[in-house]
Amino acid sequence: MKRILVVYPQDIDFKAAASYPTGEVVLDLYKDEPIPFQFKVDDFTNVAEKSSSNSKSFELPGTKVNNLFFNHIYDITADSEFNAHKQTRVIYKENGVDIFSGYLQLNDIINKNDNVSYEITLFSETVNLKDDISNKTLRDLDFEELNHNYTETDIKNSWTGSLTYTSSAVSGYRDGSTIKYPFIRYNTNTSYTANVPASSSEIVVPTPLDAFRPWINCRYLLKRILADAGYSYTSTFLDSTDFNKLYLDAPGSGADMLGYPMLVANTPDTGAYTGSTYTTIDFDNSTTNDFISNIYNTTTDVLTAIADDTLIVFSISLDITVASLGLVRIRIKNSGTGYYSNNQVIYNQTLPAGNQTINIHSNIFQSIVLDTTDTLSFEISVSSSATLNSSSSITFGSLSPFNNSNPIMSINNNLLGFRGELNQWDYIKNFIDKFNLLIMADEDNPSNLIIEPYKDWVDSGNTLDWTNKIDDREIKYTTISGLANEVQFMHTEDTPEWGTIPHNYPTLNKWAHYFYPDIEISDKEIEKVEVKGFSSTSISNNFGGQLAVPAIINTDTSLSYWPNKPRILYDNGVQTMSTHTFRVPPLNWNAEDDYLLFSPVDIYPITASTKSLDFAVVNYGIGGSAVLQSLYNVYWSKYIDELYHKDTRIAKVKAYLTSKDISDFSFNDVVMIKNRKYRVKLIDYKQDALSTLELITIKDL
Amino acid sequence: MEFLIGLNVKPKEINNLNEVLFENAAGASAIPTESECKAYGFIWSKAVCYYQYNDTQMLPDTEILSIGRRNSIEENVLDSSVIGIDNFVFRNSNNNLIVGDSNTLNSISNTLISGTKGDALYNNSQILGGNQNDDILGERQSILLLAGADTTNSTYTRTYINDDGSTLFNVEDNSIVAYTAHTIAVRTGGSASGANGDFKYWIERGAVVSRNGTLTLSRTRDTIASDGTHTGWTVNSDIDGTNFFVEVKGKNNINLKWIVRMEISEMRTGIDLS
Repeated sequence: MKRILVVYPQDIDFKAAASYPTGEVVLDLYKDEPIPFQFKVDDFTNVAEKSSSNSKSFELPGTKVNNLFFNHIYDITADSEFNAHKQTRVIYKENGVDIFSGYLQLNDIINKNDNVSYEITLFSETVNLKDDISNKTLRDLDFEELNHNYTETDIKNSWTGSLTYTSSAVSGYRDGSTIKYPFIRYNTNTSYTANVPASSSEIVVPTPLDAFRPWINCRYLLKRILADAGYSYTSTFLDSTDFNKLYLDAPGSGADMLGYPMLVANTPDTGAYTGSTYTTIDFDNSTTNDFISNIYNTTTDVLTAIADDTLIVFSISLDITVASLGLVRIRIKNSGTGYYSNNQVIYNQTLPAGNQTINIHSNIFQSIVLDTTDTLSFEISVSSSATLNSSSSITFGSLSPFNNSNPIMSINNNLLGFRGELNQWDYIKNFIDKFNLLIMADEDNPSNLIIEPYKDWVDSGNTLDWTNKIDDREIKYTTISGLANEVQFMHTEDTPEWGTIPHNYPTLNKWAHYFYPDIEISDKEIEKVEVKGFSSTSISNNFGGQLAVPAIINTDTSLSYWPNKPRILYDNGVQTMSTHTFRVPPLNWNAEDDYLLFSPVDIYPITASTKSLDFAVVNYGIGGSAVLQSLYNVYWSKYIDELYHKDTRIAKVKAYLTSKDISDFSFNDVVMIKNRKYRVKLIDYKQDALSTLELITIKDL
Repeated sequence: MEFLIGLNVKPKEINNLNEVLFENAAGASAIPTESECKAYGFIWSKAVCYYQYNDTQMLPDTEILSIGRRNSIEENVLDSSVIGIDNFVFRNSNNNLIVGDSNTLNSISNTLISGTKGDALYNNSQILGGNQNDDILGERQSILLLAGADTTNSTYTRTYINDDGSTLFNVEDNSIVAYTAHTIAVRTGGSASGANGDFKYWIERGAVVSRNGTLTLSRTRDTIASDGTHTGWTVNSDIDGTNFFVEVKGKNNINLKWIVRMEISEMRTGIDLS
């Protein structure tokens, strides 16, 4: 038997290479010493972990070739360039057949009577994806290419996958459906007025960000993360239409996304206000942030709207020196509509002589609505005399673009908020746990990953008849160990969110599946599969039953923005309300009866074929019945059923396997032994000797 | 969803009665045994397989007394009791008593609802749902409401539910409503002839049908009792859009207080009657 251990220099970037590059070295082996390997792909009994294959430790002789490859590391005085802390790629072949590919780990260098040997262990082509990206977050990627305008047109274009962008494409993965804007209740600001007839009922979104925040296509993000780490993938599952309907929320923190238009009138005039006649409060300067024009006239001290439905809140902060006791009044001059009427007195106090402070703030529920050319100003009257000090100012905040130009939605700015902190590995792990995915290295391309659900991968290989290879003089059957009294499948609860806790079952996770096996002897109480850091999303019919809308609302309903845990939802397409409409005043968006629905189900309205993103069977209350095709039922039930079935056993048997058997074998093959089918759990391979197999017996496999 | 090991039936779908329907390997409907039902993690009750209902529920509210199973109570529901199963109480509802099966109470207060599949829409009302679980919501129900008005002249004035000045009874599309409206007017002041305490009592009976949103009303009126001077006082039932109401007319310079007790039998057909 010809055995070859091929190693590659440590400085080769295998991810950049399309296939194995040149520069390999064939190391010398001890002639008669077999290299035992242990092959395994899945620790069947541990539902939450995946493992990989490796060899047992063995020694290499200190030959000229080997010493040269290891760069004389045995000589402690030599400055060896071989770094034992870096990976060394290897392929092990028998009779020209690839048996094993992976990495070499140098354990020991033994110098005994000037005879050098190297003790090494070989590890399989483990997927190092976790190591590569577990220190990275979404914020480490550049999403400049996703910049787009944020207008009614753009939001609606996103619904149909025709969003256009203001920056050039860079990744090659962006398209018109990469960003979408579903209607979501992020807070309780959106109001509903039921009228008679129902066709005149109205839903009002006070600011567009109350309902329309960007969601990012999950497959786009996955590709970006993998590409940035130097990987690609092959996956029927990830390339499916269904997976492409999944989106991740990017709710932002509020001010970081668009930048609310702000205008500050400052540098007050130093003149005195005297007498009971109202005089316009005089400022000599005004400043704005990036998203507005300066619509404040410092000569007249009047703010004039240049767009209809300009929604304005204000904050008056006056540092005033009163000459002598006097009545100070402030009134608003408003030619628009809203909470404050024209000439309404908003401050009326008798102030003593000296420095005083006047603070008046309005909020979203006390806003002023101006149409084009409407004006807003403030007047003061002082029965005695008073002057404004230099720190006085009036701040105008608008929940709509002052200048009606197109504000830019920047995903990079969005991810400066809490969603940008999402760990890249946690993002991928969430899909692994949801869909019970296996991630395996592509044997032909070290930087390509094979990713499929366990249920689609297992048993999908070949059927191999190993009857004649088995030493059936002894077969040892062992019951499955490591079982638990209870297996829980859940997402992390987002406890500040108001939809989290079920009233009737307050101790249970709302959308979790709990599996209680029929066993009395177990090794642990609870086994948990948790999609860590990601949460389920509640959805209900709102606003007179016209909108099926997901809600991501804090129990403190005063919070418009809060760091909710990441959410994944399906795109269900555009829906049309039968009698109601909504409007978004700051965007001049009126009488809209369409909206984009996102939900935890893949098909809406719900049918028998609908699949959900929750582990439990849930009735979402949006029409239709409960969704049978839950994550557990579709992706996990087969795995758990087999694991916990009373007839499932581990069978240990010896077999004579050749290098070709190992090379041709894949762990999704089914092995036939005397007309009975087995899955292979583990192979302790020995060349030219009996190997030990651990097989799994599954009833009715 | 795959067959469990050793079983030749598996769940196919869940119907709107929360029953888990099974199929065999050929895709034909199959009736599971109790062990087959439980093997898939479902609940066996009275020879029927039900799914494990996870409440899609909002905040627990300590001011809720809930006795039963699978009741859905949204946030900000205060001081209410829910007894039964599968009842749904929308948010911002206070001071209600719900007893029964699959009733719905829509963001209202001070209401009693009982029975099966009743639909409560008005404050201070009493609803009795007389349905089976596979009927549509509110298919047959009786509703008790009070309406009122004050008049000082001889103009027809609408009475509003709970005298709130705005709420009228909305007739659901493609439904029929039979009603008995006990209406009483009593004089409380005014300069015209007559005396405080003069009264009159009528019963308006009728029915209103909605043909896909278009209402048709037919009614009769009986005078039941009266005392004193009540010339020109009258009542009438009327419709406006999809609303039905009782309107009343008094007399100039006579202050009248009106109460209408509306006993309504409602049937929602669920089919297009136009």
